[in-house]
Amino acid sequence: MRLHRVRLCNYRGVADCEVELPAQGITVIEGPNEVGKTSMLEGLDLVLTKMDSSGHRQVKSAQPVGRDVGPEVEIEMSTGPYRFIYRKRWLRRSETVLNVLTPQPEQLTGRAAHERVDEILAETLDGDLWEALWIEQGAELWLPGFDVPSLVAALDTAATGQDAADEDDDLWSRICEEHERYWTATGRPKRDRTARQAEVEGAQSEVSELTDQIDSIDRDAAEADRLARDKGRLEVALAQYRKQASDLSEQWHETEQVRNRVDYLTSANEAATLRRDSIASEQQRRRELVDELSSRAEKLEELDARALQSAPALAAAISHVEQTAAALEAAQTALSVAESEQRRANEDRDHLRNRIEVEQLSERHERIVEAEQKLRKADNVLESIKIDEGLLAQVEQAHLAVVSAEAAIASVETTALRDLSIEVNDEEVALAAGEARHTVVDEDVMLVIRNTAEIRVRAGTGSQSLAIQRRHAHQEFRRLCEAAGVADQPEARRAAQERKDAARHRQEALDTIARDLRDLTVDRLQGKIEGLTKRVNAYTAERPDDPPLPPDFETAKQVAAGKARTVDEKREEFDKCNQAATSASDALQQERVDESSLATMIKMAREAKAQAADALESARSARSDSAITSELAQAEKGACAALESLDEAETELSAADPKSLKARLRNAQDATQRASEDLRANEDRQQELRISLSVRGEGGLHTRHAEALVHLRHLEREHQRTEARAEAARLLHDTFSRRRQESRQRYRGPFKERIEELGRIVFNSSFSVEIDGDLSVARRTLDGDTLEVDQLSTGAREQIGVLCRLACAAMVSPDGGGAPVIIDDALGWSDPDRLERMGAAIASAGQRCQVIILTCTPGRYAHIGNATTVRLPSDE
Amino acid sequence: MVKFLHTADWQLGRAPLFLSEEARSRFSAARVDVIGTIAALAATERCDFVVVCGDVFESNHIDRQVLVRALYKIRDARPLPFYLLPGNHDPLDASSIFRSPTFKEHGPSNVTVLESSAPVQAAPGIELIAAPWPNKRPLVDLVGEACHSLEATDALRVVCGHGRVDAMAPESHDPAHISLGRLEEKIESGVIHYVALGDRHSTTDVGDTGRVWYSGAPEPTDFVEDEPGNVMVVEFDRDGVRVERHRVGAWHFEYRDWELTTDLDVDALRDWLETPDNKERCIVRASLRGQVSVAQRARVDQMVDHFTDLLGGLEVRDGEGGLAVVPDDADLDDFGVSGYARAALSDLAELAQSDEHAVAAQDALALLYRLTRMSS
Repeated sequence: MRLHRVRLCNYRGVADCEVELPAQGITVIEGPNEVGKTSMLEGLDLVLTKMDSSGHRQVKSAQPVGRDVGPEVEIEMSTGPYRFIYRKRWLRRSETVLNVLTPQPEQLTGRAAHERVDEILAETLDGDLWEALWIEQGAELWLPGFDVPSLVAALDTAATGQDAADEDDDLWSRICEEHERYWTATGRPKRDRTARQAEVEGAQSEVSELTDQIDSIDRDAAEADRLARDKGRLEVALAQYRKQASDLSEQWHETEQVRNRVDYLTSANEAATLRRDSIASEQQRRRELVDELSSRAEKLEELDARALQSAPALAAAISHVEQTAAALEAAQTALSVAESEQRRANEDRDHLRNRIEVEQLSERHERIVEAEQKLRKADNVLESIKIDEGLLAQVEQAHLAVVSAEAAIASVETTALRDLSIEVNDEEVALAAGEARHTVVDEDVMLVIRNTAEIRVRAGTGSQSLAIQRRHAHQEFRRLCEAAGVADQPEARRAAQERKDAARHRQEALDTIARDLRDLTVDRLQGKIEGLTKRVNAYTAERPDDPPLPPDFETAKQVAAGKARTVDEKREEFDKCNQAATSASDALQQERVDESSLATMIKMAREAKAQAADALESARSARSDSAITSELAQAEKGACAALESLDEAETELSAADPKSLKARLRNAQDATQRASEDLRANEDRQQELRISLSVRGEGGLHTRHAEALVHLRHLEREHQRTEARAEAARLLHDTFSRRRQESRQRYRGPFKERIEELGRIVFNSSFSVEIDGDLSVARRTLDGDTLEVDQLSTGAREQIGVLCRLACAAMVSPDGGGAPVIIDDALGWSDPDRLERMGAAIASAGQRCQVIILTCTPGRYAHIGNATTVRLPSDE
Repeated sequence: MVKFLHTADWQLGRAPLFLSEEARSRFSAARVDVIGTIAALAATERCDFVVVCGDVFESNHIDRQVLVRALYKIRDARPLPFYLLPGNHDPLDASSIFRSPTFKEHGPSNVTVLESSAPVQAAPGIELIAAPWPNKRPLVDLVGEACHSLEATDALRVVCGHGRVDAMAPESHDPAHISLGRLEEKIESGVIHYVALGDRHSTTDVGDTGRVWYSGAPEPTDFVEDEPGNVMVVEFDRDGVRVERHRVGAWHFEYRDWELTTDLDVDALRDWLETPDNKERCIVRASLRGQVSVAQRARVDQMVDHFTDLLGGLEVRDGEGGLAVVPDDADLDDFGVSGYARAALSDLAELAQSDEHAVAAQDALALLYRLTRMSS
């Protein structure tokens, strides 16, 4: 599409302004802000989109202030094969005039003109491209995607060398539309398809239900037929059963008569038998009375004999009891004596043991007292003597040191050969004859034998230190002796020995005390001794002299043991006697019970015999024994005759087999009853089925079933067709989508190259971009540094946005296609150097497309070498 | 000579399931209307009565409307007597339509239901010996049983039966089949004089006597019938029989297998579909197989749509192996697409010959073909 001319009349502040635009190349329209420039773009939009009758806010705002005229816009443009002049005036004397110049001249006005222009634009102009190439001032500086049909077509042509992309894109839209008819955006079946599936299932269920109903009718009809057949059979059977029951009933009546006779004869037989049995029973009773009397008499005799025999045994038992009682008493006495002697012997034994214990405890007490004295003594020694083994060793060591020191130092021993007096170091020393004087030479020693000689003994050079050592040794020795409380070394040794002995004695005393006290204290030991002594003395005072106290404890122990054995023996003897006495007493008791019992029995036997004799006498007086015998013979005869008659009657009844007859009769009656019930049930069921079938048969079920089946088949067919179409649409869509994506991958190359070609002019030769799937710029690389477009500066993004549009327009616009790039005062964020370079890039792109730049900043686009500048008049 | 009209298998209430609702309605109505045609023919031919040998109704449970309309059609033919025999579709069981309240209420005086094998006087000296079906699955030769104890009398006897004749199904041993031998014996011995049969929808002369016939159905029922749409006007006596078939059916069925490979085959299919007269009462089934191009397939689809509108009914089935769409290069060129669309088209063409997604791919090609035609 190309714009050739735009004219505004009475449009805001513009009274009349016309701008000519070259078909190719760049036109810079300069005009004051918010007046000419903006009006130009707005007018272009209004004339293409708003009808002349429109009262849109945008239209109203285009009317000049204070003038009663309508805003008017006229454009001349070419798009596709069309070139036309299009004019509109709004609000006042509104009109639309279209004058199509090529390919066929057309002149239209009003709505027809507006609609024709819409039609032409829809046919020839890529609306998305038109919008994408329009950069408005102040609009967000986004980098659009160029996924617009024209560019895709151009890229496709570039990629494939064929020019069919327009059609393919149209086809793709149709494929998408087809796909959307069946599938949701998320790839799920659309609701109408799932609804149809549910409809099919509903229809299936209806068919199934009707089939069941028809089957049910068929089953019922078959049952009704069977019942009809059964009814005939049942009627015949019922008649047979009735006749059979009637015949058997008659037979049963006859048999009942025989049974009655048998019953009568049975009664007669029973009466005869009863009479015979009664008389026989009386005879038997008479015999029993005689036998009983005899038996009672025998019994009485036997008891009397037993009474005579039992009297001696009782006397013997009494005697035995007396004997055993005497023996028991003697044994009791002997046991008491033995126990008394045992007690005395035990007390003697204990007494003697107590005496021994008093002695032992007293000895222990004495030893303890003695040991306590020894302990106190030893403690005193230990208290007074300080020197122990360690201190002694130190003293002896110090003494040895003194001796060694003295041995080391020189000394002068002066022995008097006569009594004399000498001076030793100015000290007058008198020596008896033979007496010697020892003088240590720790320093020079002057010996003066008066009037005789002066002997100076000079100490050697080491004498002084030896003298010091000797002095220290003496000091140490004295200190230790003082600490030990001794005068010298021998005394120290003696004191140490004495202390050692005292310690040993102390330990011995402690051991003795511990051993003799054991678990007692001294007081308790003392108390125990006193208690025992008191008891011993008391026993000695109390005890009789006879028998004499055993001489010692051992003897007493043996005597006590002997007494204990004697007691055991006596007790055993007593137990035996006691047992014998008890047995004898029990035997006597038994004998007495037996005697009493026998006496009672004899009394009772005597009474029983008297009763039996009375009974027999009474019976014989009623009926004699001979009378009974005669009556019994007669009764037996009568009973035999009755039994014979009964046997005959029973034989007759048995031959009739009343049991079987009754069973057959009952069976025949039951069969009749059952057949009758079956027949009734059959008739009832038939009636029920007839009514039910009659009602259901009228419902036109077959027709409804057929219709339901038709409906189901129709739905199934529709469903299958729809599903097949859906699958086809999906397969078609998916296949195309995949191929389209692949193709897009190839498209990107030329577009990218074109952007980079322009970008290198603006930035430098390292400039490159990455293109996304929607043909938008994703990343820019400059001097090896790659950034997401969001990370770029506002100026850089704006520049790349302009370059993308120029690249797009340059690709789609040759031969008058595509749409012009319209730049409304963009690049406000670019510095002068960058503006200059942008100018060069725009100039380069402008050779292949129409670029219209509107600006209120003269000079901003001065660097576009081949631009045509149009200056809008400023009316205001 | 006695003259009567022999017909059977009206199957009132029947309509093929695959027909459209409109066609089903017309088809069903035609089966009732043919009663009027039959009555008119009987009047023209001066028939004494009409026997309908079984399957008068499609089922015992047809719509009440159909029953009432049929009964009124017969009523309109008064006084011409109609003798109706229950068959396997409408047996005389407990749910029999012949005993339904509607039938009892609206059954006209000129209708007699042949409910038993007891002889029925159809005209002076003429006895009908009927073998009605008591239920859907009889276990005996009903016709044979009905004739078994008959002896020759002065009357001329027409036996009315329904079912298959054993001679026509020698491989089957169904005890309910009608024994032709027993019938021919009775004919030979002069006990019976004509056997009017129903069940077979094609008009058929059975055996060699010329006295045993299936009249066929007055309106066709299915594609497999050889000669449906007739009724028989029968004239007979002891010495001879004259049978004349009359076409009364308004509908007809056409069926053919088609192997399509070339455009000529598709043209031939179109010509065949164009052939029938009274297309609105013609039900056609075409069974298609072979391999066609996408364009040919599109033509076939278009043709099916067209004739579905035109014909009484059109059922297109897949023949053995089905009708495969195998696109060739020329075919693909014919789509007029290029670039990625051409590549996608090739993918689909390849898929159309695969095993797994062939059907969907062929459908997709057909769809694409349609879409490209829309956009061009």
